[in-house]
Order: sequence, then C-alpha cells, then structure tokens
Amino acid sequence: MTPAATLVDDPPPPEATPAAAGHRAGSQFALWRGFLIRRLGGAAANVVLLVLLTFFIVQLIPGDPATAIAGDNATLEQVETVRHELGLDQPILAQLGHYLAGVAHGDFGQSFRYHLPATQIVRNAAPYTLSIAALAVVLVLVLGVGTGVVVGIATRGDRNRWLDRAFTWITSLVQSIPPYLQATLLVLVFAVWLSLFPPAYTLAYGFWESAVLPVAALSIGGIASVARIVRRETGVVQEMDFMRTARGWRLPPLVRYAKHLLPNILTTALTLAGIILTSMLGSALIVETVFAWPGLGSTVIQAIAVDKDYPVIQAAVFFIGFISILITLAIDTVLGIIDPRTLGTGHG
Amino acid sequence: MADATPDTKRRFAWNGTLICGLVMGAIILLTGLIAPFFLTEPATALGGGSSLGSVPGHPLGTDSLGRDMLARTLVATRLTVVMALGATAIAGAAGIALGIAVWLAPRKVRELGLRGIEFAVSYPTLLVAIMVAAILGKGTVTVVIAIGVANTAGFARLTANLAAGLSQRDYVTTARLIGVPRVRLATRHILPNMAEPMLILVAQAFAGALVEISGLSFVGLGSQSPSFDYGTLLRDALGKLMINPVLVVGPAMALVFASLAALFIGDGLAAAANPRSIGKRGRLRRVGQVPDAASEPPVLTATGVTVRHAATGRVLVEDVSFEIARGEILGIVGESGSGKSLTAAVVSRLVPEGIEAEATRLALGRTDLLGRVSQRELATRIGLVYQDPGTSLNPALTLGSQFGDVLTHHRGLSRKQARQVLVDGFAAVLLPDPAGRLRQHPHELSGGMKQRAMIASAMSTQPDLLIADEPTTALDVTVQREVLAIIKRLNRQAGTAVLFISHDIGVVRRLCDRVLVMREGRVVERIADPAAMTPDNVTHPYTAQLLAATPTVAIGGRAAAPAGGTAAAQAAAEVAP
Amino acid sequence: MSDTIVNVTGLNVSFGPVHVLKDVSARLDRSETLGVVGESGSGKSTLAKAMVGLVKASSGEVWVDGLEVVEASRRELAHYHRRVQMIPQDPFSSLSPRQTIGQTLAEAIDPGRARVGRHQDRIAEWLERVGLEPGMMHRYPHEFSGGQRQRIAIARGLILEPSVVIADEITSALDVSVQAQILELLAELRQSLGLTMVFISHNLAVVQRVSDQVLVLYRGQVVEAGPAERIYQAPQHWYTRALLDADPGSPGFTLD
Repeated sequence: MTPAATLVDDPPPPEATPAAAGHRAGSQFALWRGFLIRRLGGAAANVVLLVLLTFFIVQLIPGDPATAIAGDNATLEQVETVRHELGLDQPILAQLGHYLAGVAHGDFGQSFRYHLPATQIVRNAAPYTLSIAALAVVLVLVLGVGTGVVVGIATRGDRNRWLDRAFTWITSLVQSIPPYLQATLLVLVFAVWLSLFPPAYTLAYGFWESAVLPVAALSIGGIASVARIVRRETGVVQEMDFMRTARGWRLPPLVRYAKHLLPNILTTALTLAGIILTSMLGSALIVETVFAWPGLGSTVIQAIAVDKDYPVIQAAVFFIGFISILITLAIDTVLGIIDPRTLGTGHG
Repeated sequence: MADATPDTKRRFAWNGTLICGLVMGAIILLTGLIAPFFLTEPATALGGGSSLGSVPGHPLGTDSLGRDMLARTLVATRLTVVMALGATAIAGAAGIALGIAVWLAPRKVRELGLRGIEFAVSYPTLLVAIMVAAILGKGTVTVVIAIGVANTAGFARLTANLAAGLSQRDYVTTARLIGVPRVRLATRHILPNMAEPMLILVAQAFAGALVEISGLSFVGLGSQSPSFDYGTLLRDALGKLMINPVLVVGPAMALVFASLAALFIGDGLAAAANPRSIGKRGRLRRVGQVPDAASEPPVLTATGVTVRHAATGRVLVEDVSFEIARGEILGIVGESGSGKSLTAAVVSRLVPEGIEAEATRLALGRTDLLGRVSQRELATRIGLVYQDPGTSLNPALTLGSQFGDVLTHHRGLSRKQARQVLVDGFAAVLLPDPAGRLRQHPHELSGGMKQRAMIASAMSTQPDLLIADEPTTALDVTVQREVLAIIKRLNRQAGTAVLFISHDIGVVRRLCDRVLVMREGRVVERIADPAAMTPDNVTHPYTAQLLAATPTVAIGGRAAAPAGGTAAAQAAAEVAP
Repeated sequence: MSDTIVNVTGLNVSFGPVHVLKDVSARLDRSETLGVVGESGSGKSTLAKAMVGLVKASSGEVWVDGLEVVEASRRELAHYHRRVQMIPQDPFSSLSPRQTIGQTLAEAIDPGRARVGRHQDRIAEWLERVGLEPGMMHRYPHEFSGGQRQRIAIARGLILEPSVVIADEITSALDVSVQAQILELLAELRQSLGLTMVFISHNLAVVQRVSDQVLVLYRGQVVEAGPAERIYQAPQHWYTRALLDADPGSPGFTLD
C-alpha cells in the first residue's frame, strides 16, 4: 500500500481535499445566500398574501359597516354620508388600492368603536399577548423537551412500563382538556381557593403576578404535546446506529445523552417549536378572554363577535399573521445555523 | 443483506390503549345514539328547582332554569359528536383531495401548492376558525365548517408529504414507467398505502375538533339556544362557577372523556402500526463451570456461547466456541440469519435489547467478561468497527469531537492529547489532511474515508481485540480492498487480534488466518487454512455451497497483474481533470 | 452488427453543475447482454435511467429499439415503455404492498385496468417460468422472501416480452446463495427467450456470469468497452485492472 494508491482507490469527494477548503467556504456562502433569498422571498410573498387576505375577509363578513357605525337610529342619509366618508361607495378595486396605500404606511384606518387608529389599538394590546406567549414558549421548550428526553431515555426498549403508561395517560389527559377549561380550573384552584394569584388582569396586582395563571394556562397543553413528540423522537434516535457506536465506546450515560443524542433531537424540537408557537397565538385568543387579559386575543374576539370593528380586525389579524411569518423565518434560520444540511432543502 | 426466509407478516398488533379507546368511543357513540330518545324531556323541561347543587335526583345539579345537568350533558353528546365528526370529515376529505391534487399537478403548480399549504399550516388554527365563523355568522353549521376549513391544511400537508415519499418507492416508479395512468397511480398505489398515518391523524383531528369546537361555543360563536353541545353547557356552567361549581363537572368530564377516547384510538393505532420491538435490557450470564485458563491465555476465549430471543425463547446462536490468539485474524462467515453478528455483539458485551445470552466461559485475556468488568477496560481493550460508516457516525458532531470522547473519558487524556492521538491514527490509515478531518462532520467525507476514520478511532485506544462487523459491505470493491489492507497491516504491526465478521467467503479467505462458517446459529465448519480452501477440500456441504455460489472473476492465463504504483501513475496521467 | 438494438452515442447528463455522464457511448445487439460495471458515483444507474427516459440528457443520442429516447415525445415514450422494461434493485420496495402478485402482474399487462381474471393464464405461465407456483398470484408481497420477490419483479419485467430489459443491481440486495439462484434463472431465461438485456452491477464477477459485452464506467466516463472475454482476459485500462484486482477471487488481489 503506497500513499499514491489512494488516488486510484478512493477518489475523495470534491469538497474533502484541503485544496478545496476555500471552495467549501464559498459554497457555504452560496448556500446561505440562496437560503436567504428563498426564505425572505417566501416571507415577503406570505406578507402580501396576508394583506390581501385581511382585505377580502372583511369584505366577506356579512353586515354593513356603515350602518353599524352610524348607529341604529341613523337616517338613510346619515348612513350614506358615513359610507361616503369611509370610501365604501367606491368600486372594490379602488377600495383595495386605498387599503394597500394605507397598509404601506402602517395605517389600517380608524377604529369604529374607539375612534383611535386601529394600529395604535393593536400596538397597545400586542405587548400583553407577546409577553405571555414568549414566557409560555420558554416554559414549553424547557419543560416539554426536558420531560420528553428524560421519559424517552427511561422507557428505552421496554423499560419502566409504568412510566410509559403514566406519561401517556397524563399527556393525553392534559391534551383533552380545552385551554379555557384549564384556565378556569387554574383560577378556581390558585385564585379562588388558595388566593395565590389574581383571577383576572387588574391593576391592583403587578403585571407579572397577573401573568402567572395565563402563562400556565397557555403552556400546559404545549408542554404535553412537545413532550410527546420529543419522547417519540428520542426513542427513534436512540435506536440509530451512531448511538450504538457511542455505547460501544462505553461512554457514561450523561455524555451519551447530552452530547450524542440531544443535538440530533434539537432539529425536530425546533421545527416543532415553530408550530407550537403559532398555535399558541391561537390559544391565546381564548385564554385571554378567561383572564380578561387586555391582549390581542381579547381585542380580536371583541372586534369580531361584538363590535364588528373592521379596521381593528384587519390590523390584529395582520399583526398575528405577521408574527407567525417572522417566527417561521427565525426558526428556519436557527435550523440552518445548527444543521447546515437544511439550507439546501427547498420547502417553505 | 436480504433475508432468506419470508419476513414475518406485519400483523395488526392489538394493544391495551387501542382497546381502551375503542371501548370508550363505543360508550360515547351509544350515549349519543340513545340519550336524546329518553332524556330530552328532563334535559329541556323547565320548572324543577333551579340552580341546585348536587342533590338526590340531580347528582350534577340543575341550571338556572331548573334543567337537570346530567341529562343535558348526556343529550348534548349527540350534537357534540356529530359536529366534531362533521368537522373532521370536512377537513379530511378536503385536505386529502387537496394534497392529492397538488401531487397530481404539474411541477410548477405543485411547488406553489406546497408553499400555500405550508403557509396555511403555520397560521393559528383557531384564528382561521374564528375568521371563518365571522364570515358565516354564528351557529352550529358555521362552527363545523370553520373548524373543518381550519384543519384542512394539516391533512393536505400530511397527504402531500406522504405522497412525495411514496412516489420515490420503486413500485410507484415502476408502475409509472409501465404506463399506469396517474389517477390510477394515486388511487391504487398512493392512497391505500397512506391508510395508517391517515387514520392516526383522523383520530387526533377528531380530538382536536372536539376541543376547538367547544372553544368556539365557549366564546359564543357556536350552537345557539335552544340547541346545546358540551361547549355551550360549559360556557353556562363556567359563568356560574362561583355560585354552583358542580355544574361544570358533567360537561367537562364528558368532553375530556370523548377527547381521551379519540386520543387513545390514535395512540393505539400508531402503536399497532409500528409495534415496538419489545425488548428488555439484553442479558449475559454464566452457565456451568470450566477450569481456569492456562498460564498464557489467548486474547479472547469464548466457550459455549448461546443466544436466545428473550420473548420467544427461540435459539439464535447455539453453543459457539472459539479462541483468538494475539496477532491472529479470525473470520466468521455466514449468510443473513446465521447469528454471526449476534456472536460478535455478545463477545463485545453489547447484547442487544430483547436478547438473552449465556456462555460457559468468556474471557478477554485474564479478564472474565461474564463477571464485573469496568467500562474503562471494555472501552480500551476492545475496538469496534461497524458495517455502515454512513449511519454509525454521529451526523451532528465533528469527527474530533466524537472520537475524542473515548480517549478523554477512558484514557485520561486531555482534549489536546486526544487530538494528537487521533491525528496520528488518521495518518496511519492514510487519510489525507488528518488534522483537517477532525474538524469535519461525517457527511463531508466519502464512505471509504469514514470507515478508515472509524478504524483509526477503534485503534486509538490500542485495543487487544478489534471486532469488525461487516466493515466493508457498504463500500466499493476497490475501497474494500484498501480497508482490508489497513486492517491487516494494523494487525501485523500492533499484534492486535481481530474478529472479522463477513457474509463474503471470498473476502474472508484472503484476509483471515482461521475461519468459522456459521449457519442458522451453529458453527458448521472450522477452517484452519482458508487460503487453500476449495469446494472439494471442505467437509461441510454448506461451505462447499457457499464457495460455489460466491461469484469470482474467472481469469485464465492473464497477463501480469499491474502493481499498484503503475496503476497510480496511469491514474495521474489519464484522469487529470 | 446489423442487428443493433441499443445504440448510445455521445451521451452527456448533468445534475446542476455535476456532470454525471460524460460522452458515453454504448451498443448492444439483439439477444445479447451488455454488462455495465462501475462503482458508486460512476453513473451506471444514471445510464440506465437515461435509456428509459427517466433522466434528461443534455446532449447525445440514445437509440433503443428504433426510437431516439432523448428527443422522443411523451406519446412515443409511453409506447416505448411497453417494449423496454426496467427491473429495479430493491425487492422490498419494488412491489406494491397492498396489491396481490396477480394484480401487480396484471397491471404490467394492462396498466389502465389490471384485471387479473382476464390475464390469469398468462400470469400463471410467467410465475412458473420464474420458478414460482401459479397459486401464488393471490398472495401479497410480504408473504415472500427477498429472492422470491426478485423473481416476481423479473416476471413483471418480462411478461410483456419486451425487446430490451434493463436490470439495475437486481442481485445486490440478496444473500450469495439466493443471488446464485437468480443468476441461474437469468441464464435460463436468456437461453429460452433470447433475452436482450442491459445488466448493471458493481460486481465484476456477477457481470461476467451473464454478459456477452461489457462496459466499464468510471466517474461518468466509459474507460473500456468490448466483448466480455476480451475485457476479462486482457483488460486495457488501468481502472479495469484495478477493479479486477480488487475482486478477492482474482489472482491479482493482494492485501500488502
């Protein structure tokens, strides 16, 4: 065996020779550029789609905003005047143009009910929702991934059947209780019986104290679903050949799991986090109403179910959608950093 | 290697979770079917005592109009279940149709469709449902449609993903090639093979729909008086939580019960579709007593190794004995199912899950492997090389990071010293740029390079015994020869004993000093001089059959074989890029 | 040479910036077998796919049974695929798990409807030809071993009596004893049916057992082509010799 013989026997892949190192850095750059162009382009397209969606949804909602604003006692002329002022008597394309021009300046019009810019109402409500959602996400990721990995390891093969059963039962039970019911039960136990936290948002308590129960209500379901999925993934990864290799090196369990197993679960966990995050924005809509939490959820429900306050609906729906798009983009980017192989994939 | 026997039929594995879910589901369906016929009267009749707590005759209390809550809950089952079923049916039908339509569409449309589905999935389900409800107005039908529409994207995505995966399978490619029309391809080859994951999603979607519909009813968008479902009952009850808490119990329990039933059915179906290879921790124990070894024991002594499948008791390896001396290469050859890899796993004390192994004697030099052995001793004295270098290296870690662990943990080296050991090892197996390799991830190396790196890592602890389980099966023939040459050279230079497992008798006879032929768990022949082995001088007919079946190139009176150097020189001359 | 049925000239195939096949030429006469040998990355499977129009060539001509495949229209290819059949590698994914063997074979005869009843005799006859029992047509793939499945895949490939069969690594997933049986079956069928076959494999020894002509591919290029006898007895190119020497049964094989 001469070193030269390797030339014949094992042609290295194009990127594997030292001479190609510069080329590798270059292709990495090209990968990232392609990734960013694709993802930013996709996100931009989604935002455009979202703007159109918010416009047309309001067109589809039955009832006449002009009548709603003018009030029940208004005369026909008064209604027509309002209609003209709002531009609702113009052809639909003209209205769309007007709407787009407004959105481009961050202007969704005046709230029918509060006579304030809809954008401002959303801006006031957003921090309430985002803060509890962010806290809930951290909880979900830490506790959900943690529990999932631990249970997955403990029930490897057929070990600890009782734990397997208990885990399945508890997570199924949690998932079957609707978030608003969980919220109410939390109120009953911690606010009414134990008087530990306020039952609803009031200025009498501090913000964070008021936030404890909403955050709990929002995160419990997420923890259960993340834990289930991470647990299943942990089971799959443990059976992979490279984990057998790590066992063959007789590495201590902590090293095996923390160093060799965890990074391979992270990708799945993060992909999931995106989905959980956006669905949490949805749950927030209902949980907030239970706690009278002055966030986007209460605002949207009030605007749709009670006020028919179209500009607020449009602004809030746009904002929630926009946050969802940003989250998806951020998660994909983080995934790209952790695992460069995902950069080349074209989904999304 | 493929099996020689028919694979076990994929039987539907009934399990407790599934049965439990089905029983619960049956109770709910029966309640929904029967309750309205008998209980509508007490559920809607006014005039009893209003807002009662739990009293005889009204165990779950009465609402503010004096209607019995237990009866109302039971009667509400029908509407609730019908609504959730309707929403799931809409989502399933529309989603599957959409997913298949996207798959059938031309490429450009398909990509656009997939992006649209991804966008829809990333949007909060409940917000979509609320928007749809806002467009259509309040009411039962509205909520069903809203939740149905909101969940369509999930079904569409699963369908599109599964279809994309299935269309890579050979039977779909072949069917397409022989001219099966695309629609038939979808209905005969794609859709039927999605049944399992689809059923699981249906069960989960049903549970989700129950919860979501009750949520919409809770915020007042769902069923309107006088009709009622669990959600409206809960809404009324939660409003009076402080006055009459018992009212919550009925609808809450019923909702959780129904949703649990669906989740259990989903879980049960998933478990039935992919029954986990039931496996207790693998066990290795001593049977019988043998006298202690001679003064100078061989590197490995294995006597009476027997392996059973723990659950069925089926014997997989029976009474296999062998020794390996220092500097010797012992080959074990056999086809799939011969037990050769299990034997190797047992002697390295890595008994797989669900397997029971025993031996009368198993010793590494003077160390009894059937007793207590420190992990350090096992890690440093036995080196392991596996079949597929593509899967046996951790894709998330660099080579330096994963190979270094065994040296820092078991040989007490610093990270820096470990790197140096590995760089030297990589150089010894002729990996170009050894230091650079340590910073690379496995996917940056070719298969042959990965296997060489793996061998270097196995040898980095200077083991007494190297166990190589089909180390060249996944490699090209020219690379195979090179890897075999490296194993042989390391064996000769360091005197490391090697246990070499292979299905290829042609490889084994060229590499090994002695060979065991295994078939169906037994050693059928021991060959002392593999190089001289021919179909005529072996004793067991199976060995002769293996030799005859193994194809070798027939070269008669060929010209002088070129030396490696000549070939390399020509390589440089002819394939200069 | 008058009866040439496969004639590939100057074929180039690229996937993005990667040239998978470079200026490949090959020819094959009726009732003969062309063995295509190469290691991973040699482009041998791409050549098979190009021959049936599954990958798009960037330039060159592929004439098979009177049709130029590269420029052929969809319609022409549809007819062509009934005359040129491909047998895939993996016996475990090549048969639809929810169709009986009979349905799979009927589908090969009549892709639109696949009625087993109408073609029962023909299916039974072919199952016998590949060494299985006619009664097996009512069974599902999971009831068969890898070797049996590969026999079924062969029956599906031959049932239309195509003018050319392309076999892509059809024995590489099998145990050696089973492989030997499949090779024997192929030899029988070559004799009795006068099969014309392109046989693709990474294994020189297997190729030698079935081929009249051999083509050696290395990194997308043909390094040597000619009658099997000549290639094995007097290899001209260093790579062919390196391949031959890498076979553990060859006299040139050394580990030192």
